[in-house]
Amino acid sequence: MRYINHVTGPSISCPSGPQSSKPSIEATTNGERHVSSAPFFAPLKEYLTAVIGVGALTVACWLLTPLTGYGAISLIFLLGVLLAGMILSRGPVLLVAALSALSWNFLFIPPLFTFHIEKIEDALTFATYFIVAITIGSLTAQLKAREHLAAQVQLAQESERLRKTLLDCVSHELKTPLAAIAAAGQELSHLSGNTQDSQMLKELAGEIRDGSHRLNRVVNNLLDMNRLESGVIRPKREWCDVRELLQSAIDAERESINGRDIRLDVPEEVPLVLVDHTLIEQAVAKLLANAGSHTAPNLPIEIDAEYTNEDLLISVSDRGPGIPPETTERLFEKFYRGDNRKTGGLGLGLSIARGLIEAHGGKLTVENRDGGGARFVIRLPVRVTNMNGMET
Amino acid sequence: MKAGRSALIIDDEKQIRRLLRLALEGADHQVYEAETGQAGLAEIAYRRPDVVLLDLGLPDMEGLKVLRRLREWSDVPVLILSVRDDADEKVTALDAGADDYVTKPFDTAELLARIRAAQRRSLTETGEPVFSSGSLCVDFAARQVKIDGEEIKLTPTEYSLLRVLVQNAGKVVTHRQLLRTIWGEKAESQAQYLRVYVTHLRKKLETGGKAASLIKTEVGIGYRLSTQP
Repeated sequence: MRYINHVTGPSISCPSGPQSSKPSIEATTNGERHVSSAPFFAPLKEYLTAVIGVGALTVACWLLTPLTGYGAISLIFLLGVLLAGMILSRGPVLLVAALSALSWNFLFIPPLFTFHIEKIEDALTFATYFIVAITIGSLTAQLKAREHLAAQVQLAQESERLRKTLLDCVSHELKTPLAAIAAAGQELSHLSGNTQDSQMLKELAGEIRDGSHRLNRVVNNLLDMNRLESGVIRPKREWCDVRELLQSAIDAERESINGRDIRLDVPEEVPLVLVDHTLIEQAVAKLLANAGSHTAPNLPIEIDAEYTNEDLLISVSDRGPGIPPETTERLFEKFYRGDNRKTGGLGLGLSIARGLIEAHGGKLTVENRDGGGARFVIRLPVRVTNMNGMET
Repeated sequence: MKAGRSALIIDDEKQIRRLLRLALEGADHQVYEAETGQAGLAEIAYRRPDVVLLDLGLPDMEGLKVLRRLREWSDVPVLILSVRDDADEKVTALDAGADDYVTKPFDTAELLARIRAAQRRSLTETGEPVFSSGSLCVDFAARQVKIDGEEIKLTPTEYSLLRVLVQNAGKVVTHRQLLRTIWGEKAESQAQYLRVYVTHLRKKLETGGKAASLIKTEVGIGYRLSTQP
């Protein structure tokens, strides 16, 4: 942390934040988890399935009766009810139970094609069948309702955890620079203006500048994340020079690169490409910031570009600690900050980078490099132009 | 204070006005302020400032509307102050007659450079025969371009492109303005040509010296010829 420790300003408490809470939210990277609607009012489709199912079962039973006799048919119908209970919701299951009972009575129990039952044992079997079928229907429906409730509780817990992590991260990441700015500002107002104070003045001004840069970065990240999640980002493609695009990403990240050696390699034959300059530059900048925060200052960061099979490939490679295989996908989750949390930040950069690339129809992946370090690869389908045929 | 030039700030944010006032007074400007679009228009008519800094999000009327009304009767240089980093909005403002834009949060030194460039407009229009900035020298009369004293051969289109940028040195020139000036009305949608010629031109200027960053890309908007003393 760069903040000087001799300032004695107002104390703004900064909660330990993400350090004390689980940093990532499972299963919520893509918005909310789907939970089925209330079980009783199942969509019409389920009722239709119930009717068609009973119809099909009736035909099958009709064909089987000569072999099995009409008594065993009730067991086949019962199996049908059980199966319906497993896949349908309460209303349709009860419909299956009732329809199958009626179908059995009308088509299989003598006298046929009437709802009248002659034999006392048939009446007893029918009554038992009806009660068992309805009970099975109700029980499975209850089980489904419980599952539904459990899913809702889990969803509520997940959103609570997301809310807490967001609050912790944001309050920590916003309050730290604010505290530094407030403290430096107060200290400035105490300076008397003599020559001794001029060094102090410079340092305090530097604190204010650093703090506001950091705040600006956090606010931009939150806004970017919000724009990505609400789906309002639409690429505005224009003809871009890849080298210029990558150079502007490097320029934008001067601060986080912090004097590291950047090796930019774009072969002459890479043509002009039709992409959204701003989106791609932002994504590359996030990758650079990530590389900058995970590598020692004396290690280089390499950026390469090539055009192959109608795809533009851009890779950002570092010589940092690399990625443990089990975290390669979690890396792109919101608020995921890896095990090494001293790097600070909200843990949104890589998630935003992937969102920006995907909004552009591309892919962002990560791999470990031979000899150590990580390589992030952007693959973008692009239209290109060649520069032949122009006036010379 | 003896002020050389005057500037009017139209912005509803008090803190922004205060900061701009500090920066502009430091650069020897007499500063006037207005909080609303209506007040701003009245101030322009009354004070006749040398430059106007106009915020796009004003409480009473859109900054763009202020600009359009203003352009009906005044050609005072106008710089747009925008908090939104939206290229389309800037292009609309530039096409509506703004001279340049600055996005908040802005760098004071850059703001002052943009103000200087915007005010230089009338100087270019008087038709100086030779333009010189850093290593670049363009002699309009002889149609000659030199980098570090060495002549660079340009095609007619490349020369036209450079000439438009030079005539607006330090100011952003939109894609539409460039296409229209160089190829005429019908070429407005041919942004691809423009991009290719800019690449050609950059390469040629680069060969003659280290002038790679002479033509700056303003993403989604256009190009700017950077000026050096």
